[in-house]
Amino acid sequence: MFLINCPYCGERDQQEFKAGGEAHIERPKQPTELSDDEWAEYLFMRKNIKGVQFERWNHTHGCRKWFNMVRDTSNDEIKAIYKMGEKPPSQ
Amino acid sequence: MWPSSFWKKYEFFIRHSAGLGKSPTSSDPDIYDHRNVHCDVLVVGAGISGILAAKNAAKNNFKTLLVDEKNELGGSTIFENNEFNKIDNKTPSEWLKQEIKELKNIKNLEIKTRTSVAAYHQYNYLLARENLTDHLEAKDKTNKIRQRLLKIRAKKVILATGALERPLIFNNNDRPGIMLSSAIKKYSEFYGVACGSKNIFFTNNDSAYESAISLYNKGINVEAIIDIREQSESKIVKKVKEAGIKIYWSHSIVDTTGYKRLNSISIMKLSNDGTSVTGSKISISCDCLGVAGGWTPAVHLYTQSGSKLKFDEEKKVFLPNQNTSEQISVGSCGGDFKIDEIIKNLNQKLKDTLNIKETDLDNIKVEIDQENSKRNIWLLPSDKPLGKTKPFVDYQNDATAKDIKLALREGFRSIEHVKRYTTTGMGTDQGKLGNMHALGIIADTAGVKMGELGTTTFRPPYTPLTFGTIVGRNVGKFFDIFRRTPMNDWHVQNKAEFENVGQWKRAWYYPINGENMHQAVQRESKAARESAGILDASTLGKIDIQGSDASEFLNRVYTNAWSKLAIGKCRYGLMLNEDGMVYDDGVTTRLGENHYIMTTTTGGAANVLGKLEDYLQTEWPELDVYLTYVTDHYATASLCGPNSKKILKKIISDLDLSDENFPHMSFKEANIGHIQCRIMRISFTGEHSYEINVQASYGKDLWEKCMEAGKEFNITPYGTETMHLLRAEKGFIIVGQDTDGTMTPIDLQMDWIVSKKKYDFIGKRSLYRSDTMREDRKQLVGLLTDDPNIVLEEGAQIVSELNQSPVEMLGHVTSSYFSPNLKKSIALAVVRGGKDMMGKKLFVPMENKNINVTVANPVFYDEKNERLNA
Repeated sequence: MFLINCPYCGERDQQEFKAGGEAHIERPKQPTELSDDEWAEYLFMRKNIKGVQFERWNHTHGCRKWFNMVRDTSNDEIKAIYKMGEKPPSQ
Repeated sequence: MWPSSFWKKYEFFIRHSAGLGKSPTSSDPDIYDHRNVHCDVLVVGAGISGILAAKNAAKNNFKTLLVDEKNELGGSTIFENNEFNKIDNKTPSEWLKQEIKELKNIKNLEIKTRTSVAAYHQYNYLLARENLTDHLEAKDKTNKIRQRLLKIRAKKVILATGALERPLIFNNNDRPGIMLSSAIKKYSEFYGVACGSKNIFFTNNDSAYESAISLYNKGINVEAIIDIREQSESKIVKKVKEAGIKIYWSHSIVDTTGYKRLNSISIMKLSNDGTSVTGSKISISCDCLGVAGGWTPAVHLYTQSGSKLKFDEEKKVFLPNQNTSEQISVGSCGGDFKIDEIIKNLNQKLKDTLNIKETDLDNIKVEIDQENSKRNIWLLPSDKPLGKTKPFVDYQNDATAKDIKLALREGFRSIEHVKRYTTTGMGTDQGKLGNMHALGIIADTAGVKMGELGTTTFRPPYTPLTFGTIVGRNVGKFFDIFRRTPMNDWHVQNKAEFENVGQWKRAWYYPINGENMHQAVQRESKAARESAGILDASTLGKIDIQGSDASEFLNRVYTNAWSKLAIGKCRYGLMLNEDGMVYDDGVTTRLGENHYIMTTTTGGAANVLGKLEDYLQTEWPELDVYLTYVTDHYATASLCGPNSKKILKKIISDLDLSDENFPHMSFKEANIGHIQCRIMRISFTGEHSYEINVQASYGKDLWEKCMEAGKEFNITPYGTETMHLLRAEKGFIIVGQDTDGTMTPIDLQMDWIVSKKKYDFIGKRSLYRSDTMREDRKQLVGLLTDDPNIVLEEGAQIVSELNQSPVEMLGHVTSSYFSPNLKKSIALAVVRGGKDMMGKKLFVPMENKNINVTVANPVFYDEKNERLNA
């Protein structure tokens, strides 16, 4: 059970949060311009890394804000947490 | 088992001999509880290391919690009366008792005994079971909490879980009377029980000698000690010699006898390499055998935390290696078995982890009786070939060394596979006794080093937990929370049957005069179309949307256009996932220039809110939109049927209900007495109807007023089943019943709601993927049975050819009812290529018969929507 430092509320138990998949996948601004393959890339393709992964999390049972997390999936170490729109820390 | 037809006969005996208990049939009468605990330092285990760690942590102002699974503090050191080990010139036992006395006066220290840590999760989150009443007499247990689950979040964890004595693996080592040497000592020292009158110890280290002296000092007879070592020069061994107890050096037990209890053992001399026995066999009569095979650090919790072990070749044990969190392992669970090592290493670890300069341990003087020699043989030889012996490794699952060797001959190499093939380590002790031996035997047989094999994974719980402890107070009506509408009391009083919809308890139907569900639903459905019906629609999700970009936001989340919706008007919207599949639907009303109220399906409300928030926060943060979840704030009564207008007129006299002033798909605010209402003239049944929303606390009041006013029109309350039937007559979909996450609006034949003009909305691009544009996708159609009295089963498969093999499944029935208004059976179904099958004959094959059906327009009733303005 992680202890997650919500950037708006502070440290809270994992059960207040929901994981939201890979971070930094931007919805295409002009979807109609994309080929089926390009759209499928956005829609379906997600990394599942053993190691350092950039993820979206939501404080569902708290402030309901989305934020980003850098987590090592091999040992669940949370390396960084930053707000939506902020630049990811360099690896 | 052969022959297989005899299995039923065997089964009884096999299950019986497996010793499995019977699961209880009634609910657990005891009370269990949960508590969240936060501390700076959690110390697990109150042996000498744990006590010293806790004491020094608390003294340095760390809020400390010390837990131990036993009734009393002190671990095994509390019986440690080896007179040759001294701490500050006292025996370890005396010295520790003094330390324990001092603990009581230390601030910042909380001590919990009878508390077993069951699980150690990431980020120092641990679960412990505190046993509160099991040790009390029956009369003192009444109405008390039996066990409490502590959910501990600790800044630092000090594991002082000690070590578990392991047995020795020899032929016939599982007879009554054969037990661990340390257990015999504890029985004698702690409980005052002599386990046998003719005791023998069998050992590979000095701890059996401590047990022997302990018995000797109490006047309990010790016949002999069988030691597989060649010698030991420690003082305790000398003392045993002086006591006149016979020691057989370099000997091993090759067999034991006895049925209900141990009668004798046979011993032989061990060869120098320890792989065989030589010489003549000596038989010794005895009634209790204490086995001491060395000590295995209890690293279970350590590995549960995700930390890694390393095999120590010298000590022949797995030891903590890399920690993943703020934790240390001290004492014997960290690999320190002797008191001088324990205190020295503990002192240094405490200073490092707590960042302190001085401790109580700096000036302790320790003298110890050094143990000289060790000899570790995982599987002891017998004079008989292995195949004729029974050296048990897992005492509970009756797995022997033979079984392990067989597994290796069968080709299993991974320790995890050998474990599952032999069931070694899968008893309730989870390998605490025999796992090391299993690993050792595998390593010896396969000719590899123990460290290379790894170890099996220790999983929570460390000791078994009852379900009661895990669920705590969440039992009975608190097991799964449910929600009730403000009108719930009325439904209960009027004998409604209820249906679970998400977490809601919704009125399903209202049987009267002993009606069954079918009869009640037929009556309710007719009444709603012929005069007036009323439905509790409070559970529909409601989201208040405000902000200068609210219209633009709706444009992006719904498939249809919203910018031109006039204030005071309502519009039905369909929401897709980004993959183009229907996600939710509902009516949204424009309350003001920048103010809308959206309704969602009952079950989808929370997810829709989450999805909208996600897009607003992450994709479109530039939009000025505010969402407020108001589902619980309003109670909703849906008044429907040709007389609904007259009923509404009776309760709201000052509102012009004419079609000109208040047409279908529009909204008005009005007052019923002092109650403010939001009224939408919208319809899910195809009848003239109104959805009246009031502040939730007035919900029952509103409902009763409608019932009173509707009396003269025989107003009929109807539940969700009738609602489903009425909407099916109109071919209106229910998201989640007629759709399943693979249906696009085009599949639903709802092309009309998909804007061609809008540049983008959620899911738009996916509607133009090659797969979603296929003509032969499953599409929503109506189905009519050729025999109008046969009602199809929902979920039934649909085929076009009966004689094909294998028969091709075209689709399935999604909704099916007997329509009392049409006096025939109707159904909605999804059928591959169904859009172009109007009038086609298909079959629904059932177990005993094939039902003939015809594809029809899904709008069965009032196709021209004339009743909306009736």
